[in-house]
Amino acid sequence: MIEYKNVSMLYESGVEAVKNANLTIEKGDFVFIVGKSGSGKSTMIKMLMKEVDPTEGAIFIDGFDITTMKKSKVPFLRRSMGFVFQDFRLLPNKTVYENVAYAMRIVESSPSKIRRQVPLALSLVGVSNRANMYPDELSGGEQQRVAVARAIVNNPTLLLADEPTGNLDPITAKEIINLLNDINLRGTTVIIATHASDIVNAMQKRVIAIDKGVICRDEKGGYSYES
Amino acid sequence: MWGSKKTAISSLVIIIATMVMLGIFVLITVNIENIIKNAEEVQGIQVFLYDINGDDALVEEKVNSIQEKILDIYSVESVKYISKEEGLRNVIESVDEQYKSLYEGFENDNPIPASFVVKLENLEQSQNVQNQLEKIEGVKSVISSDVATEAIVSIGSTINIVGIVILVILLVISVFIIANTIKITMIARNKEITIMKYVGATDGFIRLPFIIEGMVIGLFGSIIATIIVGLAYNGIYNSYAENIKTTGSIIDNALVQFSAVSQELMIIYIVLGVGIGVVGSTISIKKHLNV
Repeated sequence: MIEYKNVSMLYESGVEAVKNANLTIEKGDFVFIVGKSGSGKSTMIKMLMKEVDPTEGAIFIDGFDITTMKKSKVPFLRRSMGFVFQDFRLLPNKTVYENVAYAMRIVESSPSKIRRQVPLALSLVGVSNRANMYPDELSGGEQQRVAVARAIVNNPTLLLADEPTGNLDPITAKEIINLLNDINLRGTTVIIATHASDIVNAMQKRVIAIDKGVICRDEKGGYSYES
Repeated sequence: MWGSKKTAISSLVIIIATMVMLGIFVLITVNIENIIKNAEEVQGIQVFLYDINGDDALVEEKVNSIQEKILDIYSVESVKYISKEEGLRNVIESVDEQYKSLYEGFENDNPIPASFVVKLENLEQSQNVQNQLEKIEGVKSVISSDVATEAIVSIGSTINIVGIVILVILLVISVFIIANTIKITMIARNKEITIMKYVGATDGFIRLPFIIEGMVIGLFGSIIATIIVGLAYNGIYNSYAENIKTTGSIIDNALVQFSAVSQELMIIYIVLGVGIGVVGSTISIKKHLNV
């Protein structure tokens, strides 16, 4: 379970990205965080992955306050999460297989486990036939599928996606969201920050809307800032 | 990628330069120490005494008393007494055959004073010992071993100081340049580092390849510098061996063979090279690993 308790985030530049946020996300939830550019939705994700710490309040994951967590423990927190970004963030000099295997190698998985898990993850996202290709040989949609495979290959309990469809055409975007939905159905909590209203409307999942750092709506439904 | 290669090469060059400078400094120091050691073995301070009038027992008593006073002086290693007769014999032996008869006439009226040959533990104390010897009662005059020795000791000390200063400067520059190389490599691989961090790589896991890169640059620098210094020194050694003949002075056998110091130099090089690499890369990583 994830809990934001009176969380505020004021950047050094003076921008107050999040103002007194309070919310709870249960295990296995599928949540959209929506808002315009600069509304604070990405900061909500960044605080969860400890890229930034809130200036006020606390964030709990399974009862642990991650805001007071030591820097040396952060890698172990991140190993329980998977990340998907708008720009895919694949390593251009590694093949699809190597990109996914890399995430397992970093957490020191055994070679036999890597050989077993990577093809499974590639098959799940539908890019098994691209295993030996390099990222620049793939379409945007395929690259994002590889990124999703990398995010799930270590079986995370939480998957965070920041604008995962931002660089994709509407059809491919829908496919990626369906893929993330499939992953959610397997028990992984999925949190997606996006401003793609058509996708949010189509999915009819829980929507947390942020406007100028303030949570203005939190309910199941479509893309809207008002309840 | 090429940018990082270029900086890696410049790091290598500066490390080689540092190591070569260090090698020159070490070899000069080793050779000066060798010359001083030779000098310490060969040379001594001569202390001439006033003639002592009286029977043999009185002479022996006075000589022993002076000898004890000399031995009490700091840094005096040994004292050898040379009687008037022995002194004359030494002079006769040292001159050419044709002049020997001139000295032989002095046997009944020996003008050579009795003396002590004083050897020192440390030639740097030479002047201090001489001053104290002159104050001992019964001492007529003190003749220092060799002006050249003093000059070498003084040059040796100067080279030590200048060498250490230059070395420290070069070490700092080397560390800085390695840090810069690793920084450029890290910037080039920033994307990879960010991804590593996101998927849960520990700082140690991320640092290791960069530290290894720094170490490898340092190690390569050490090996190349050893080869350069070894070849250059052997060249100098060989031409010295051909040109300098035995002169009877302290510069005989002054040059130490490279093989005598190569092992120590290699160890210093590797420790220092790897050390510079590790310190340089660690500084750089600490500064740039905040994802």
